[in-house]
Amino acid sequence: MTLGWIQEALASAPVQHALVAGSEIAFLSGLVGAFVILRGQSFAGHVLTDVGTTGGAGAYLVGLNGWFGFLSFGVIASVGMELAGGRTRGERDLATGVVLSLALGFGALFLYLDAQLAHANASMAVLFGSLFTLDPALVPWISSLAAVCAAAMLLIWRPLALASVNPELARVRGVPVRAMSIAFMVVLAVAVETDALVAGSLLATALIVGPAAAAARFVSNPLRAGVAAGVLGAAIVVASVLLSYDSYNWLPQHTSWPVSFFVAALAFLAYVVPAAARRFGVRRMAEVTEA
Amino acid sequence: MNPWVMLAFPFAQHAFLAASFVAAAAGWIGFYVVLRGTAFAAHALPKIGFAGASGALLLGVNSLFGVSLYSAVAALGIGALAERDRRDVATALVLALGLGTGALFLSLGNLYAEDAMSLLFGQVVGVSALGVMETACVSAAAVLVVAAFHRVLLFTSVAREAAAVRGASNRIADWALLVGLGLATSAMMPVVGALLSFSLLVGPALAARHLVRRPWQAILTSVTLSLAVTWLSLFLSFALGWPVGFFVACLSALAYAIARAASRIFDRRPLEGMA
Repeated sequence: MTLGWIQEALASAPVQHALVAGSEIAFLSGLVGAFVILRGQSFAGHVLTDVGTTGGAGAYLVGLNGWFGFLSFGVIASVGMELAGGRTRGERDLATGVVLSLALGFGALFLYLDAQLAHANASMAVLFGSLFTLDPALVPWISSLAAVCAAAMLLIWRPLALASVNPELARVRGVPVRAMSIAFMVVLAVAVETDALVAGSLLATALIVGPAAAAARFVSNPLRAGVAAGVLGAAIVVASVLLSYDSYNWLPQHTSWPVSFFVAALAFLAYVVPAAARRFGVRRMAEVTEA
Repeated sequence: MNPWVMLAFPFAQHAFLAASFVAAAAGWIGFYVVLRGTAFAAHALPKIGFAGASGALLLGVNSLFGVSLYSAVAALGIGALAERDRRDVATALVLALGLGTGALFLSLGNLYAEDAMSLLFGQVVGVSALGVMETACVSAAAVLVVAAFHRVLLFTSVAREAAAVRGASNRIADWALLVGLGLATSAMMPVVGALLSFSLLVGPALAARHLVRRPWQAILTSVTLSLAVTWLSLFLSFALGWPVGFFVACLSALAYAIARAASRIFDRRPLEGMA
């Protein structure tokens, strides 16, 4: 089998843009994801994607690029969620849930109106991603925003890790815990909402949680786990883009399989396979020692 | 269109019946969801059900079957993964995988926009007489599962250590709730849609928690509120032609906001004097 199709894929401009923007944002997502897991904020991350749906659908409604809608709603929601707080995680989740369902209600309305006003594809782009139809003018913006956020994470990772694991100790050491969590939520919002372009608002969580959960099994230092997750995430996106490009020829009816499917499936595999392999390996070792 | 006139048509009557069964089940199960703080699972299962429904559309089988199968597998998957890893991580991963396959089914079946929208936001006017029967049976099954484990669910949530000492397993309670949620999801999906099932599960139950203290009172209040929200939403949706889910979400949030304000004014604290 020749690998000519890869060269052919790489020569196409939409694929190039998809690869550049997608892998950068996936790296940021992995980096942020390690801290999301450390802080137990998977639900918050997921909520941001749903709020983003509302923003993205609203942006199409008024004729803006979806990304601006995702981003503005996500950042506002992230700060709001952090300020609303809650005594326990369960209670915080429930309060978040009510805000979330309200946002989803409006998202439903906006998507419905989008469909009525003949942006039939807008709703699918919002929900399932639009990496191949990315506006080339946005690529530099996405790249620089991802770079700034990644730099910010590298700058604050040590006090952030301390504040995540032991807030009391962090406060004693003079770490501004509250400001730290707000800053983190904003970076998380940027990562999640830009993922929504790659994988759609329904699936943005995959890139945050999947690679980070896989990395957390092998690396305990949060920074190293973050970087490992980022590299893994970028690899997943590159593989997904190429597979989606090639999948046009897989079935007789010639439909491209969506990028978001490959992202979700590969992220899940990255999490499950090492665990299974390790378990199997451990069992084998135990058998050998017993024998 | 005048909603009173529409009520004379069989499709509107079917919609009201199916939505009522779904609302009662959601209000009941929502009580346990709120009690145990499992908002993420309650949010994830309906979305995974969406993937199951799109798979069923692709294969041309009954969508209730697809939703039930997918929700059941997802509930088992979340339960199994959560035993080795953190629950929220497990939920997020299973959710992402489920939705990914859903996106694939939709694109393979060329089912885009319209079908996806009706799955995500509900297609309440499409319910047949047989559909009403199916919805009633599945809703009843969902309530039966949680009701059978009522004492265990309550005991392990309110006093985890004491429950463990007395031999009431928190794991069994977790599984029972996941299965109940999966079943309720299957019933809700076709009616209110994947995205808004969650509002109906959490909104009325949270409101009820702020209004009354005893568990049975809370369940009854939650069911009543849920029915009221659903009926009013259907009515508004018929009148204005906007999606049912939008009204369900707004009215659920409104019920919660009013209940919270009321509990502030009358200075009642939720469920604390109970134990």
